[in-house]
Amino acid sequence: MGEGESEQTTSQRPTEATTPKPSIRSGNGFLGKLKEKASTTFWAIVNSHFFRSVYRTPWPTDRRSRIMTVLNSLVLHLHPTRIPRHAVKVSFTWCMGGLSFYLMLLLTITGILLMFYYRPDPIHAYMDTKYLMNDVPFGRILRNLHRWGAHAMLITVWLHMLRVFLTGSYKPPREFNWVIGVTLLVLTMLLSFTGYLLPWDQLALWAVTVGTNMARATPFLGHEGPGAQLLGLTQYNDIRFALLGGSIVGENALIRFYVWHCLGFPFIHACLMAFHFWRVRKDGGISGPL
Amino acid sequence: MAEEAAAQPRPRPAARPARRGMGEEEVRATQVAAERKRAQAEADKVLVWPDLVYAEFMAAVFLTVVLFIISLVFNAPLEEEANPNKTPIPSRAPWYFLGLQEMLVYFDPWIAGVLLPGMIIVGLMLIPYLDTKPTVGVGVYSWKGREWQYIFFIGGFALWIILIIIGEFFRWGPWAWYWPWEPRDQIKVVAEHLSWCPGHKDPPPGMFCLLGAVIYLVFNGLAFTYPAWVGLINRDWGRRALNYYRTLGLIRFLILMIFVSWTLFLPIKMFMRLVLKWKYLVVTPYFNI
Repeated sequence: MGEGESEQTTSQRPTEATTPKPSIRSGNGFLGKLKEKASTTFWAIVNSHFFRSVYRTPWPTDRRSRIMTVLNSLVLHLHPTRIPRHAVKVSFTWCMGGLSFYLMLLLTITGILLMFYYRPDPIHAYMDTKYLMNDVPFGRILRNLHRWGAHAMLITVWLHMLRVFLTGSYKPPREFNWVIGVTLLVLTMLLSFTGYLLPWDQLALWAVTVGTNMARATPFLGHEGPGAQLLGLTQYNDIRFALLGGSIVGENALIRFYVWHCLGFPFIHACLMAFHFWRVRKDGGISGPL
Repeated sequence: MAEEAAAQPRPRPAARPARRGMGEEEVRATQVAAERKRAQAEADKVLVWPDLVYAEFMAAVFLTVVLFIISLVFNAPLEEEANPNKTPIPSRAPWYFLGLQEMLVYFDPWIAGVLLPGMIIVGLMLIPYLDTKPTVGVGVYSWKGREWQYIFFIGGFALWIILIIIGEFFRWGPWAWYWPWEPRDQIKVVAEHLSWCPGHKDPPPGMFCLLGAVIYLVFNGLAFTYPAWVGLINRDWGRRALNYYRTLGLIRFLILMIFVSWTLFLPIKMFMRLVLKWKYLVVTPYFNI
């Protein structure tokens, strides 16, 4: 408990932030006047009735209000109020965990926007993607961002895992959070893989065909795996059939992948991510020497 | 002396000795030192607002700018409409699964596509529970004291990346090996010069390959019993290996060695397939490895 954390979080209206003495030496020229004007406007906004009604703490100017800002903000309170000096260094964290989270948000936003234009059936899926790429305003950059963002997220998640291993951050008491992290890594790959089918082009169809063909060989579950004859498995009743809703990658597979991609996996992913973050805090925050 | 120490105020209520054989004074000194270190670390902390929030914000802005530039310059791929009757050659999995697709070359599908991916996931999850140095190198990059952990993990990570690179840049047609300078319009035959198993060009009679079985058993035998024989090479290594085995215990050691031996077996199998041109090592009527 730091000194700030032991303060009670008041339900009082935040008082006005104390406008700091102008630290910038405003000259008499145009630039100086502009700076002065900008400063006055900024403080007018920050001290306005509306702004103070939104944020439960006045604009942070001193140590106390800075701590209170973090404590009183829904988003920022994922953080502790103060952290070890080494934890803000990019050379230690590589920023990869945070960027993975940020990319997840970016992918959720672009994904929701893409859903407005996309119908998951073989007749419309490809045409809708074409439409997005050629006619929808900002459709192309939307799809590009979603695609490249997904690839970037895989890389950031892999690098995050590498960093966590190299810094020994999986060691006690953080063992179980590492397990959750591995699950999140797998989910990220599954999210990316299910999204791969949706454009319904040759690349999508055959990549998913190659990918799901591996399920055929699952021992005792796939019709080409060991033990298939023993259990009477055919391509119409094995694990691959369950994944695709058919024996080929067809319209059932498309709707299944769509639902997994847009609802199923994101839901599981979000739950586990919340747990992951919560557990980071409970296990003593970011790892450090001691 | 003990009474004297007991009479004085202590920094903490009487605790278990940090190490067996520690005197009361020594325990207290350790506690005081730890307390002082904690207090110092506490005082050395920085504020999240603005120090951390600023770093996070700048990282997010930087990544956004980079992603926007990439998205403006490069279009996400979109080929012609899906056609189940027209198989493109080669059919590639998404790049992040190319490691698995490349492993299909070296192992039968149930191993490469199911067993090994499952083992990678489970193996990663087991790392904290098979770690014999839970207090070494926490929160720091420390090669020292964690040499083998670093070598094994970075090696495995590199292997995964290498498989992806091979799958993306060195495979063409029916998943045959193409050097980057080789023309891609020449069709290669994959099965060329491939023998079924060591010593047999075709599937061996009785579905048994003696040489392969011996190599496989010797490899696994050496791996699983290494604490017993490594001392013959170097006495110090032997001592350390035995210590390691004792720390883990039999069950955890066996679990660990299953994962380690398979990780080592993958590059060995790659060498057998790519250089020695063996399709399988172990041949049985039921499954082949």
